[in-house]
Amino acid sequence: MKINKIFKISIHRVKQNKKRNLIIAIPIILITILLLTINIIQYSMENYIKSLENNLTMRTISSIRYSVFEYEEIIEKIESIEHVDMVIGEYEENIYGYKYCEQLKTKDADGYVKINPINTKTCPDITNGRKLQEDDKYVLIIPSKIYADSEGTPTGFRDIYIEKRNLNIEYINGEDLIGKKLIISFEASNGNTLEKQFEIIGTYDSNLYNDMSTLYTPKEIIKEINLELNPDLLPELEISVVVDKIENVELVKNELISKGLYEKSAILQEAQKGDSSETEVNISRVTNINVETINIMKKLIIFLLFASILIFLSFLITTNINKAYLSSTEIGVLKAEGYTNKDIQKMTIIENIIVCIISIMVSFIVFILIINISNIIMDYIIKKDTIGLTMNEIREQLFYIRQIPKKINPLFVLGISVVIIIIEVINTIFINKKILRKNIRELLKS
Amino acid sequence: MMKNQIKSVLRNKSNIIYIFTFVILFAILNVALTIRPLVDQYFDNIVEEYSNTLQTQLNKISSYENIKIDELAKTIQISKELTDEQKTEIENIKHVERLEIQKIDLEGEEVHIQYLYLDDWKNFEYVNNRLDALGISGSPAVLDEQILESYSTIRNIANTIQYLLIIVSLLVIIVCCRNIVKNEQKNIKLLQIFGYKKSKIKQILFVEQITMLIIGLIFGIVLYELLYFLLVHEMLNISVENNAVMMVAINAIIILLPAFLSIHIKTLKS
Amino acid sequence: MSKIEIIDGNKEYVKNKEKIKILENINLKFESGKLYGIVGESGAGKTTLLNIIGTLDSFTSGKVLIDGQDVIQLKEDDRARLRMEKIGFVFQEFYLNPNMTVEENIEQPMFINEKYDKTSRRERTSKLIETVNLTPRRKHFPKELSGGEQQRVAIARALANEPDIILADEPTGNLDKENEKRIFEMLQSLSKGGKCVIVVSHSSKIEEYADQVIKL
Repeated sequence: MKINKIFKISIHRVKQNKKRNLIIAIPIILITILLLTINIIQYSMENYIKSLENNLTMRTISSIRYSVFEYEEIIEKIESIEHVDMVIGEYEENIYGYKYCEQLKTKDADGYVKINPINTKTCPDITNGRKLQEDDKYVLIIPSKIYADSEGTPTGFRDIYIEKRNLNIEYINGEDLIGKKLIISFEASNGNTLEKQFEIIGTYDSNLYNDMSTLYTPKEIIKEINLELNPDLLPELEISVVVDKIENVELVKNELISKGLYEKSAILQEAQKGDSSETEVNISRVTNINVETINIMKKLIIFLLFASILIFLSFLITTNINKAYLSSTEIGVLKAEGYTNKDIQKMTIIENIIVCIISIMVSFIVFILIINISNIIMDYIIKKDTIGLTMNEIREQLFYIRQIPKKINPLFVLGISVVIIIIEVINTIFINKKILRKNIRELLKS
Repeated sequence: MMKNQIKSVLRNKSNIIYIFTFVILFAILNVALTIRPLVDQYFDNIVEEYSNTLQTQLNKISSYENIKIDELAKTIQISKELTDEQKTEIENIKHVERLEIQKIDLEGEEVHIQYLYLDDWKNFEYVNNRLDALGISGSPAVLDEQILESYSTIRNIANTIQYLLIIVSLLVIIVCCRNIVKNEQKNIKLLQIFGYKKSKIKQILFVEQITMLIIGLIFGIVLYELLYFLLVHEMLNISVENNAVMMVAINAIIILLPAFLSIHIKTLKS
Repeated sequence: MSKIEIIDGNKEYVKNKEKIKILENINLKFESGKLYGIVGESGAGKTTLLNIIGTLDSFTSGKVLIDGQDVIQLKEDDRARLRMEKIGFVFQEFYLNPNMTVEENIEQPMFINEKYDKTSRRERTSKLIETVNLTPRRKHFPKELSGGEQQRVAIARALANEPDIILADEPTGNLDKENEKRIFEMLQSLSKGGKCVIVVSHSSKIEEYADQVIKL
């Protein structure tokens, strides 16, 4: 029989056998929704992993002491170590004093900011504008959403929530400030004040970096401001080292130790006073915790995917067999009418593919509906005045979940659709083979 | 009667395939229930290692002899001076064992630090939230904040995966049970013709479903133990004590609920 | 008093706002100890009438009295009880449980009858299997039996609770002439044994065996 005729008959059968087709439609809908949910979880985990990796603090080895006479030599030694992105002197790390910007003040934010050092290697990923260049001086890279407030030094959505317990906070859109000038006032503890003008060259994703009040400027500028603000600064005694990736922190640390540049924390120094021949205390499990965290998270998501696929496969096979069993008599009638095995195979496959496509489309609609409804419910609960700490904790969790971007990745969608259809086709072929082996009488009797 | 009905159900090949699905579902479900205890155990090992390492070093120093790191690992340090009222409130917080003020000799100076001893380091976040509400800030006395943050994140992911797989397993089993009942329609009509009451038929269907689910559960548990041994014991080299009560309860719900929901039958026309 | 009495029975369906009359002004009496044949063209309502008598369906208007009791007024559970105690069904497609053996199929209706305990149930099953001459096949499944053998099992099952009424809907429809004869003879002997047997059939043979033929 010609394929277009088979196609027409298959469409007709889909319309006729709605109830029977529900048997395979339901598992496909369930698994598609599950896979889409896993995709969101995976996406937010990747973002979290990126934010860990992007977080400078996580890959900074700090408080490396050195003798004041060896400064240049030390810097050279450290910079020669592989995976070192930036070496920051004590006065390049932070501006000592208050940093205030009138232009960043809102009804909720008092206008106080943090300023962190960068160089061309450690520049955050830019969402708008441009990255830091070698000859840049008084420039700033700012968060895409700015909330410049000193209270509790909130650094991200979670902290803001804890501090304010309120969602109607006025943020400043960083992108609007690109190309503009910001005047930042500095006030040291000795009473000295200073004002500097910076040009905004780019923004970074405040969500990804979990930071809404940190501005980035070249480390040399930070030192310049420090020296201007505090002319009687003592000689620098500490260095921090920024490593290129979180997994290389341990490597660099060991390298620093072998060069005699890294000293342990006070408690450990005390601990080793009695025995100088003792080998290095290994607390790498802790310092490496972020790498382990990332690995565990990846393993968990793989487990979830694997489990879902297994559930899906077994469920789909079962329901396909069920549907085929219910169709036996019909297949017997078709064979009696003169349809060949091949015709019946093609018809069933096309029918099941149509059911797959319709089910996948329905899944998306249902999924989008679920997301929207759950967003509305979460917004309602979050904005409600609650009594009791437990309810507040739930609100906090919901707030966090609410921030997770619920995107449907079109490639992923295409991917799972294709996979589901292929599995369904293979399923149909194998199950049909068994049924079509029976003779007509057996099929009609069943 | 039940014996005959159950025999009849188990002889049906399509039901055997459903039992196979149940085996896989129960195996996966019970693995999912093990994730959270696994995560807890994993981090407990990290904390223990950390504590032991520090303790080994501190034991060599006579002035630090009395400091027990394993206890301090479960401690929140509060530097702010507390009022008596605050002390009482804090001691009433769940998971708090006691509040102690310790004097530490740090580089020749005597320092007073208030330590809040918890029953488990994992309850740090819970207690810290309650301290926040009282306007008191505390920090872990010894434990690295990174451990706490990592544990918190992974625990949340583990919980999410657990709940997701429980819900999915439940839904799948519900749909399977409904399909099984649909397949039994002819037999149900026959029993009604013989004069079986609706309640009796529901009873029969319920027992049939439970039997299939229990068979699935038993083999599922066997498969789970195998997976557990291979994945957890051999690969991760951790042994974990599961919360048996919780596992039994969840498995029981997943058996009973779908069976209950699926036994709606239409009666003959009257 | 007649065993079964139908008074002014009417049955109609409504489809797409159109009334379709299946049965009109049916007035019939059925006595114990007789074999009745119901014949008629296709669509005359023979199976519908049989189902109504067997309380599987009901008239749109009219009464069905079994032993003087109006069955339409009964609640669902009472109707079930009536079926269990007084009525045995035999179908054209046999409707045996394919996953139960011959003896398990015959035993099934007896489980809800308080009259039988385990021993008496087993005894009665053996007796019924003997009656239909299927003792060597008692542990076999329906798919291992011929059409005639399956129908004999169905009859034995219908007799399980010693009903007074046997309703057979085209019992020989799927059988060859030899088996058809055997089944009709079996039904006739049941009627002679005191049961009220009502048979719907297309076969002309029914007129040979029936005490009364009702044409719809």
